[in-house]
Amino acid sequence: MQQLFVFLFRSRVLAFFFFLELISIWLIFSYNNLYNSYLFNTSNKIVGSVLEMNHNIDQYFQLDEINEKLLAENALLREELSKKNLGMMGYDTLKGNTHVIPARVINNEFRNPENYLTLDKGSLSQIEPGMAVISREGAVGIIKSVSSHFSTVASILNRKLMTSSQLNKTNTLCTVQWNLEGPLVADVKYIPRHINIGIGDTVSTSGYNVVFPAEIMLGTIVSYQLPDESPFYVAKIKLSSDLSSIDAVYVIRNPLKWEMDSLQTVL
Amino acid sequence: MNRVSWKLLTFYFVGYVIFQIPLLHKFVLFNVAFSFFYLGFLVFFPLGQNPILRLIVGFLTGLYIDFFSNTPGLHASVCTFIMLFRDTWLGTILEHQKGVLDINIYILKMRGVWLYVLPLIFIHHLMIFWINYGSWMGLFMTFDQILASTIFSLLSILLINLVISKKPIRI
Repeated sequence: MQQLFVFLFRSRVLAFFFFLELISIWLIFSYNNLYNSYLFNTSNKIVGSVLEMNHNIDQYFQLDEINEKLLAENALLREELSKKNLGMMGYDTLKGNTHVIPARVINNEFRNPENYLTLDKGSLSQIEPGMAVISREGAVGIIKSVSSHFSTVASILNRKLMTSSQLNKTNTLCTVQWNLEGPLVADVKYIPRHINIGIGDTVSTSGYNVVFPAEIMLGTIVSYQLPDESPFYVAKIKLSSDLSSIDAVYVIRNPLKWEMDSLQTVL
Repeated sequence: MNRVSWKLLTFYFVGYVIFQIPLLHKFVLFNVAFSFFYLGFLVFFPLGQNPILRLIVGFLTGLYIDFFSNTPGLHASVCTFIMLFRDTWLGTILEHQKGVLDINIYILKMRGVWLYVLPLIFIHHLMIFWINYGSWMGLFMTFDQILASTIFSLLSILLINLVISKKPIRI
């Protein structure tokens, strides 16, 4: 400490010199137009870049919020689209009744025989058991149970779930069921012998079971066999939505589901 | 040790610094040579003073000129810089003349003028013009002005000193 004071005392002349020079430089920069403009331009540049960086960082931390907004907007667009599609297909009673709820996947499993996802929205967001869950790429699953803030989804990677589907080429009704082979492959069952199928044919939901809306993409056929004794093809599809890496999903609410279901049970 | 002659210092102050103001914009030859003869006061400031005092004198002299030439900080910064190393430089020039406090042209002699006064004025003018034009390019373009002004200032400073300081009596 004493050495510090000694050093300061020794260099007092130099320190005083710098002090006076600082005053002079300050005077030059504040009263000389040329230097003033130098200072102004340089500071403008620096301030500009700092502000830009600040803005970029702000933007980065707002990405979450922006994502949420985009999800909501996407849901709205999907809703509009579904109204339009249903209208075109003649389901006038359903028109305007489908409701799309955006959600995030917060837990995901795909290695068990029966896989479930967890979503970050629940009954407070009007999610109820039995609703369909789709993603950008295609069908994801069906809501199984709901709490106030969360809901679980029985994904299509669940061997108990049999999804009513159709072969798009011929509108043939069939059923998609997971075969435990991996998160990208599922079986297509009950395609009758007389249908001519090929690799690359697309399979989507049929819309017959009220849960999934019609024509939600499920996947494309990657292989098929026709055993001699079997009345149906044995085919496999590659699922269009990769459930091992899924983030944003949309829950589809169809208020007329109960009406339709109850009418069908009367039959 | 000799005492500082306050009378001589006052003469120097009046002759160099006070007189500079009315002549600041008049002493211009062909718009090339400017005379900053106020520098004579700093050049002939007594040797061996407190360095802090020396810096303050340099700063205030420069500031005084700045106020009248409308260039705040320009002369002050250069004069403070000059006064920082002036004593060390002058001490090495006058090392064979111990105990000298008051400086004049008779003590410095020709050697002192060449090795001390001229370089000091040159450095001062170089910095003044450089800072004034604010770029290295400006320094090249005004080099003739710097050289002409250096010679002009040197001549004015020496002439004023010849008028003020007394010739030593030779025994």
